[in-house]
Amino acid sequence: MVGSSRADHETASVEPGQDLLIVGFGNDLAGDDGVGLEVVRLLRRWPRPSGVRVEEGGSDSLRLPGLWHGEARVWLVDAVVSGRPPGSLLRLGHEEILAVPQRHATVHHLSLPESLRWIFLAYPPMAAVRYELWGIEPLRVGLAAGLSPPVADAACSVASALRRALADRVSGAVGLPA
Amino acid sequence: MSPSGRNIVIPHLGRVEGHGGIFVKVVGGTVHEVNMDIFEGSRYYEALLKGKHFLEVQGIITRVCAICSANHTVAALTALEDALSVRQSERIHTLRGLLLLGATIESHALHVFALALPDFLGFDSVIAMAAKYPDEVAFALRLKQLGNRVQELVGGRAVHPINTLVGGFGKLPGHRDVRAIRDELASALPPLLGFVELAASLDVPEWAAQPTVFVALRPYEEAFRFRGVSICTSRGEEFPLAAYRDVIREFTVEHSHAKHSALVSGETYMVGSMARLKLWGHLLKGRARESFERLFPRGVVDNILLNNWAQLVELVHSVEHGIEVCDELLGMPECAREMVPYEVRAGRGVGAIEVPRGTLFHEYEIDDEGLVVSANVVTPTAQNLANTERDLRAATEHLLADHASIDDGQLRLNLEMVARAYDPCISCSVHVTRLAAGEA
Repeated sequence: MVGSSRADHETASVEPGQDLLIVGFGNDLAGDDGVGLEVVRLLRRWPRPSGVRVEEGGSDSLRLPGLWHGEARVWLVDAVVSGRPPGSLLRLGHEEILAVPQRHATVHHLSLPESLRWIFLAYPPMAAVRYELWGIEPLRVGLAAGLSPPVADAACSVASALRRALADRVSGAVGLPA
Repeated sequence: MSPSGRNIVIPHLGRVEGHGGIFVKVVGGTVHEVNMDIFEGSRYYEALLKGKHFLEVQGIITRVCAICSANHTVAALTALEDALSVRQSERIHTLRGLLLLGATIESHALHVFALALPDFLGFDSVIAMAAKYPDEVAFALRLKQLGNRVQELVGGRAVHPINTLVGGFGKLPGHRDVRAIRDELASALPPLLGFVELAASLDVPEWAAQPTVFVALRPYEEAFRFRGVSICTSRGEEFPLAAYRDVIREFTVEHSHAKHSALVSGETYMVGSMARLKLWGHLLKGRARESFERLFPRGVVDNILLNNWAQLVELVHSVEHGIEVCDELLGMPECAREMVPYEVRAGRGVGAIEVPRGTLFHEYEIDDEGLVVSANVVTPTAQNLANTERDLRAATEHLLADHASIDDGQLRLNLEMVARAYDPCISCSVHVTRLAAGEA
């Protein structure tokens, strides 16, 4: 049984075969686009179960294979434009994120869904990875440093939610889409 | 649509929101207006650097771009070392060359295979291509990742290098790691040559062709290289690097946030892979030379769509020369660190290198305490913008003349192909995921 104290997190492990990589994507200099990075930085301040790694992915999601060390599951944290109020959290499961039709994010960066589809084709060992997207609705995306107030608040909330989700995984109460 | 008044609007080039678009106005069969609207933020960096210590420059300026971060780093270090009269050692020069090759592999692999080739093969994306070319699509991403790993090896990480310093490197890669990268490069060459054959089998339309002035740096040695010693044009002119402001005139236009550039004569010009092949393709060797002759049997002709194939030739060169550079490094004694000593003093320096999209200029003036007095960065995309508009105009005129009934959708696709062929670095900023299908 694992609770939420620091000591418990330091000694606990996720279930065998459930190793997890959490990657935040974004650009610190593009306003709320940097929220994925902020979330994983907050998450790094807390102890994590062994078997869980946290990485910053920058703005090129095609770098994911270089960050992956064989984890069965990969959680992606990114800004997501869906028309919801700024700061809203949207969680998408494996099939949902792969089905998002978006292609290019910029002229020389593919979007996250397109990148995942390409990685699926190019890296057979990663074909079995199950993804989940933790998406945060931005308020402003453009050349600016720092997050807007509602998105900065959301970054803290999402980091806490991720921390709780990690605790659930250790205790066996995994609340993930298949 | 009335033939007497027709506006072709591509609001978001490459499905990019708020960063680049194309507007073409046609009246009575004549192209009246062509605008390529760009938002580019690099100007802010120049002001940001004023008053900063020169040792902070690299960490700031590399953030201009995520995919070009190694290139901006090397250009900045070269300019600062010029200002400080630091002479690079052979090993530092060689390692920086390998870093530039890794950046070129990453950038060209993504552009040629994911962003350009689908247009020529009739697919709407690289993923759709996988249905017919599964092995090629898989290899393309692995090649891009190899470019990342080369940059990690030399720069300390795949983006925004931290191991590169004024005067040297913080940590030198060991022979075991260099040998591993060398082997990966060697194994990438055969499948890459398969792409050359694929590209050679494709027809490249000629509606984008028009005479162009090309500009590229003269290589520092008698070989095809991405670092140079002077500025050369395809008209036979040659200028010292330090005189770049006298050769290239930047100017503002109302419709774009980015500056445009022209030669002092007022002519627009092109920098990039095709310019480098036009001026220095005869210096290519080995499989790169064979690829050049295969894809450009009549030499470099003035058709911007062929810039995609020029990048493919440079990919072969970068992989092939990367192997040679690794061999050079393996021939040097292994050591942990190498720094050239220097004294801080006032000075001004220029760094010019050839990066994936063309010639990149950095210039810094520092005072006797090492603080930046002024900074100037001229990017390849800014230099190419005026020529891009010129090519868009010519392409529109040719397409309307040859196919009077061409519909707006086809015209938009063809104009996007022209703009994409320049591989413009409009912005490396935004990475949001969009759920609305219409904005895919």
